[in-house]
Amino acid sequence: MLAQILLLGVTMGAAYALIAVGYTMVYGIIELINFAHGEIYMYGAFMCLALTIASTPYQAAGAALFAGALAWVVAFDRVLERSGSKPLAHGCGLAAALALGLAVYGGCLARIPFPVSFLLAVGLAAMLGVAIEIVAYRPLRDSPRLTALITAIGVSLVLQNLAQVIWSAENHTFRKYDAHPSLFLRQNMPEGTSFWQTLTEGHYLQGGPLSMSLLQAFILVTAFALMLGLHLLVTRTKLGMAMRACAQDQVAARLMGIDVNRVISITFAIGSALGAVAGILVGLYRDEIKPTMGYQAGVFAFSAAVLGGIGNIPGAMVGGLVLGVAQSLAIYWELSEWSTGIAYLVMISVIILRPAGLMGAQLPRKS
Amino acid sequence: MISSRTVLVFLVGLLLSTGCGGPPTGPAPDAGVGGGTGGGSAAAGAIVLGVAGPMTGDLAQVGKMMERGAKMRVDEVNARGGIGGRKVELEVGDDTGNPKEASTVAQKFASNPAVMAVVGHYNSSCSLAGKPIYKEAGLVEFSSGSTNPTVCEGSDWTFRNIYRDDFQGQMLARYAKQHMGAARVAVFYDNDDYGIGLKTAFEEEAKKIALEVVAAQSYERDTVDFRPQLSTFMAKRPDIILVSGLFSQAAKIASQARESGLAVPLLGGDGVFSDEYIKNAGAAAENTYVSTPFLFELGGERARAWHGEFKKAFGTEPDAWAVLAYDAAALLLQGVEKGGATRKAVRDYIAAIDSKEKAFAGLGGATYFDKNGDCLKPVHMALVKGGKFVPAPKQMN
Repeated sequence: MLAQILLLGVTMGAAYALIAVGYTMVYGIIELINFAHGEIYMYGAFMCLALTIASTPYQAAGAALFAGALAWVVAFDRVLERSGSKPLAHGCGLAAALALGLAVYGGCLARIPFPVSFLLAVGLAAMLGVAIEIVAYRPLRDSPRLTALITAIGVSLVLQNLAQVIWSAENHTFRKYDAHPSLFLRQNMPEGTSFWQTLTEGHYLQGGPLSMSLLQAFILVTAFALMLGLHLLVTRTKLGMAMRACAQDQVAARLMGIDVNRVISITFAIGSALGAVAGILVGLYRDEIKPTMGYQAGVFAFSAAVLGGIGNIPGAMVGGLVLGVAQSLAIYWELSEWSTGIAYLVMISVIILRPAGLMGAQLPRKS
Repeated sequence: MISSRTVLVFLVGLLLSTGCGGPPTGPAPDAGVGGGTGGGSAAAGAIVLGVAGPMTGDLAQVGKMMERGAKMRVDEVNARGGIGGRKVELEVGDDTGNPKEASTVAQKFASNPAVMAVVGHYNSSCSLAGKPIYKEAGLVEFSSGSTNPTVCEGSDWTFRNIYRDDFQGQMLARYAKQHMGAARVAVFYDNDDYGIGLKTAFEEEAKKIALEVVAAQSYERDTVDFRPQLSTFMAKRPDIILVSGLFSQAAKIASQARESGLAVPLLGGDGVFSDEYIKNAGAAAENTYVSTPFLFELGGERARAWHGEFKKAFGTEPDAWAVLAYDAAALLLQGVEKGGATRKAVRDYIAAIDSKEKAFAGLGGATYFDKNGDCLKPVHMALVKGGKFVPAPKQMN
């Protein structure tokens, strides 16, 4: 039983870790706690839901306008940076907004198979992260840290309320609707089994005392694969080197010919994409998607990042896993009502003993 | 050194955001009070009946049923020409199932002199939160859904037409032992007045009849993942799982139990009794037994006719909560008619119904009150079969 509980803890921990990585990457590079990150997690889940299940025309239009606005911001910024020509940038921005808006509108009404909408939603969330940075954080890059922090909280609230306007404050689930037949794993299930049931009820992986649903396995594999990939990207590629260089010293990085804005945008994109993956997976796993879901997950993942040592990517992964396991151990000891409290207690204890977090000391830091 | 100071700065930031970010639990803040029909201004001379319950959020289904049940009665009275020539209006208060909101709703009703009495609240914790405010204002709070034993205690202004949880919990324990053949029970309970009260009553009776409670885990209203708790249950090999809570979480427990391969019957209190439970849990809802204050199948000819009228009026099938709210509205309006159109007169009229002979004959059975304002009502058992609630083959009697 303990093994099973730990497995469940690791599953949620892996999801927390995916979100925590986003906080820590952004912090590492611009020393900002991106409080809007939880909202990106939430939008990932909502976008995937909107594209997979039948949306009302109102929701489809809301999602399309939102996606269009993101495309406009990102395209405008990219083109302006490249060409320096405002009319050209406006033209490209409008064209991109129109194209993406129409695509999302059509996709929401037509219903897209889950694997495709999953990737689309992750892409849209990455774009959201980049757009937030361009609109809200870049103009404040040289302002006091508190200004940017308050801005981040503001962005978070705006996005949360916007999601309520588009999708209402209710809980949404992949299960309530007869989801689009997915492309895979249909063979062993009886006719009429929904996509959600296929993922959670149909297939079990058994090994000794352990059992897990397909969805759990999917979460674990995806999370660990993505984290490994990210680790390799940061440590083994030229882009990763550029990211580390910007984290150490932006001025020196610029002198070395690194396009700092571009590297920061890519950092936001990667962090947001990982957050969105977590949002979709947790939305499926907990069978609940709502506008406020990002707030709690965000605070928890932020704690995981601090626990691991903020700014340190492997630290965020370890922090997420520790918090997830601590939470499930509390339940094992029949202290359900304390599970979140115990997770925070673990975090506080670690911070007292090691103020820089579990792995914080390993990071070369700015002085 | 820098890093520890940095961490401090961001912990402060975290606190800040906790302050601004809205409540971490429950529905959105703007879904709050006073939504719904009616508004603040009653037409001059109209008699206003309040109805308070969770109109938005997870429990909205129950709130809507209460509102419609009460509306049925109000419409009937108005079709007869109102009371003494005065029209009756229904004013809806949305407590979202949250005691804090319930206080605000109670204040709103208390400060509107046109309100003669209130049907509500649904959640025990909400009725309890409203109780001192209604008492202070001298306004009848008549709950059609709160079952915590203490709801009517200590106030002459709070009544209900549903049984108490000490009775319901006792019945559930006996039913589990006698009719479900259970010897070992694992318990989930909502960490609020209803969940704890019902679970305590169940445990007390279980001890007397040698029914073993092998595990008990509490949860908060915003819990969505019950898998870790379920896997601790699994090791204790229970014969059944009791859910002492509400249908929204019960549905998640049912489907996650099935997902975890824990295929034992579920037993629930009347908080699980809502079609929304079956809608959310799907096939996993099958073989769930719940207690309920009312079943149409056992309610006789009059209830069946009413069922048809309700469906015609609102296009959906009524449930027990609509019936009890209808009865509550009928009794309160009868109080206004026969007792007099003041808050005090309504209370005195209801308090005088204190014996079997004077009982009010509602759809949901005869109702009369003890000194507290509590009443005796039978507990029925329903079973989910073929995607709907049907009367369980064996009833407690």
